[in-house]
Amino acid sequence: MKDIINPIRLLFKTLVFALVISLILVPAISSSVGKLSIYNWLVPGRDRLPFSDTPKKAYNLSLFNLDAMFASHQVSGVKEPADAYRVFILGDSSTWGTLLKPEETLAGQLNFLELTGPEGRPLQFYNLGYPTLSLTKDLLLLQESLAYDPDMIIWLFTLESFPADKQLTSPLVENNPHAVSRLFQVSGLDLSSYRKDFPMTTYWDSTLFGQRRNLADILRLQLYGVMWGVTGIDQYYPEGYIEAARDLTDELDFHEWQKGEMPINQLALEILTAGEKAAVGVPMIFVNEPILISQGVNSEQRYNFYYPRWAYDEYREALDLFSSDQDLIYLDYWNLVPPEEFTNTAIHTTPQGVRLLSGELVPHIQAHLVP
Amino acid sequence: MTIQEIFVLIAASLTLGFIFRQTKWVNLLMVASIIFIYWLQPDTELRYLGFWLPSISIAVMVVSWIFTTSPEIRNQPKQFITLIIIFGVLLVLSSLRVLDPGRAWGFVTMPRLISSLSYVLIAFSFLILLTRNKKALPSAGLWGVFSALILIFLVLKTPALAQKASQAWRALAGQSQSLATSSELSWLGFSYLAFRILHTIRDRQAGRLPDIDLNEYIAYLVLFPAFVAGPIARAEQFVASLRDFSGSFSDDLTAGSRRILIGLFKKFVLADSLSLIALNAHNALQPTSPMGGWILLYAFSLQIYFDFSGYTDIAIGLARFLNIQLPENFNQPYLKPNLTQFWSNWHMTLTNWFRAYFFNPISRGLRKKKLSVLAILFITQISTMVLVGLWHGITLNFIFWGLWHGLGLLIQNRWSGWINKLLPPSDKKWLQDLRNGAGVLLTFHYVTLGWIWFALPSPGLAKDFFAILFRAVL
Repeated sequence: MKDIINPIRLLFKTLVFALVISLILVPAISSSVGKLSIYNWLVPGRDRLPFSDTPKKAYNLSLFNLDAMFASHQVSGVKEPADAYRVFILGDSSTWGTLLKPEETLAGQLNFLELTGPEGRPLQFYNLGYPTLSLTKDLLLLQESLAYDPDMIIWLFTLESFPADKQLTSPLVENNPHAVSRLFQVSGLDLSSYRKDFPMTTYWDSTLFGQRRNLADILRLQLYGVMWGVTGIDQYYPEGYIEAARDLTDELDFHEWQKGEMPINQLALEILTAGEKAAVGVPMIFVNEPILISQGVNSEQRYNFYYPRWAYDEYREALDLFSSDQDLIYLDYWNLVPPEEFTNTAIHTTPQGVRLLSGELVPHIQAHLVP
Repeated sequence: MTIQEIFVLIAASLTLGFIFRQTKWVNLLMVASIIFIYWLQPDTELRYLGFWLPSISIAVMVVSWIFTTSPEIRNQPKQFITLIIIFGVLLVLSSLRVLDPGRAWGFVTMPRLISSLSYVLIAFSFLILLTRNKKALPSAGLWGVFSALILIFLVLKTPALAQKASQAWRALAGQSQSLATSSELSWLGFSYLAFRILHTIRDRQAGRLPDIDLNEYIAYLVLFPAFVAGPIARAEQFVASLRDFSGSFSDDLTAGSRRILIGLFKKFVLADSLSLIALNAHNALQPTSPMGGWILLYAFSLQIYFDFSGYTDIAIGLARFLNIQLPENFNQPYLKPNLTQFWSNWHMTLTNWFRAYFFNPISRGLRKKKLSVLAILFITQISTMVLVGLWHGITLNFIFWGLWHGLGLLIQNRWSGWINKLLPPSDKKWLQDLRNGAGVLLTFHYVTLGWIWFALPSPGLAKDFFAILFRAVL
């Protein structure tokens, strides 16, 4: 006699099967699935961390799985001579290289110089910059990067990355709450002083339902890896862009602070020292990155779209003092790049602007490498 | 179709399939299909076109049925009842502007009630009068419907004409004509609808079409699982399947579910993933090496197969839920050792359509003219494949694609004859396997290279992409 399907039994078995996969199997493997990657194996590792708002044109996408991000980067593949110094460069979108090709970024231009360090050993620079302005985001990436044996770390930043309220709002930070929480704990930092309602994930977030976006992003990252390998493109370059504003408003407030009232303790300076402590013995160079000093309407009150002059001047003063107190290797290149070498924002520069910065950095890098 | 839409169709097919098996109400399938035409039709920038296109489809379907049916069948009371049911469904759909002003149910934007109701009333008064006519209708009417469909087809598939039509619509609707584009004239499922109607017209003219009830005819033309992407069943087979309730729901449930799962995997996992790396107009000139170009091309070749065959699997599975056996459309086409076999296993129902209504009649006609076999082959193969190309769009690239396959079929025909004489099929299995394997590789690559014309919008771009692929040898 022919077996007849019992729909209720079939439905029950299906439900049990789906629940086992979703609630047990996926949580068990989701923490390590990001390490599975075709990069540095089937396709070359990326020159910079994956980031894009236009994936289909850029063959790149923004995702929040740190393992997958690093696994797709050339830093996780061994390419350079074994005796090379590995220099990691951290920072925001100007370091990552918005509107710049990989070879035009700071890391790209420094690699082009084929520098050598002590004992004639070559230097290999890695671009670990990532868009969005937050020192905590940089600290998170720094912590992750330590697994890849840096010999030096260069950390570029600007004032907009410092305000306490910016620390925990970067999407990369918000989507890695446990890593951030652990990092703050180890560094002796108080998470709640930056954000009271920082959302933590639950068990349900680790189930298939909670992980569906993460898993899909990891898969898409691999597929776009093929396009990266085929085309060498990792960013969409529009035919034109709106230049950073030169004519500015007369607004004098910076965040919620009025002129002369910026509390220095509301700038997350301690994140810098936390970074240095985390790097344990790896030399670090801290760099205040160049900004656009505009010469248009209201430029006597503001440097650019981001900064009123008073706030930026106070920040530089505080940073100078802080770095001296903490004995940090600190370089201030805020006014190094002329206005015509800025592109679509007050911190994004042209390849020529990057060249100016790399030229200034070279002697300091060579001087501080430890044989 | 989105995955959400497919899940709605799955739920509908299961429910309707269960009820249909109990009641045998064909009207149920017809009504559901009519509703889904409106639901699936995408809204375009052209004002209210999303309502008018399906409405015209329904009128065309009824007219086609009237002309392809004998007066005895046409005058039966049950046909009149079907017409009234259609009329009622359209009245309800027309009222959606009032019933669902926020469009929460996902239907297209409905025009003002006065326009839609006027259309429904006028169209159906005319159709009812035509249906109730006891006299035989002039055969010229069949040619009239035939010509109208071809004309609409030409307009929709020719970018310049589609843009003109779009401009005309914009002028009528009081919209800016300068914003008109050819792509906004999107008539969902028209190609398949037209081919099914043309098949019934030609079979009626040849005296091969059996009498079909109006509800069966409409269910055949626009059955919702197969409405968007085929397959193109034959009317008599469809109706036979519709009337056959010998299969068990349990078997259909199992077989249908399996096909749908396979289809979903092909379409939403394989094809959609491959689409990220498949050849297109944006990435065609970006590969930095010939190997990169081949990767894009292979990805496109596989993507188009998984996409299309995935949709077919879903359609066949959904139809199984409804107690209907749709014909197969793909049978491992990329594993066939020559181009003729490829075309016998790729989009089989379309190929069969062209074979039945173009290739065979043309071949017969040319044989009477006592042309040489080579000349007949040349004319029939080339013209058929160019026509298949034009079915996808009336552009130079699709003509080149058709020529590519037409010439390929011709060359393969001559080559097979020659090689079989020179090297007759071997008894040795390994030798035969080797020969087949080489044939599969060669055929796959010929078809894959042909996709360049299909994937890229201009011959110039296609030529440049060929240059990238063969940069190392050129």
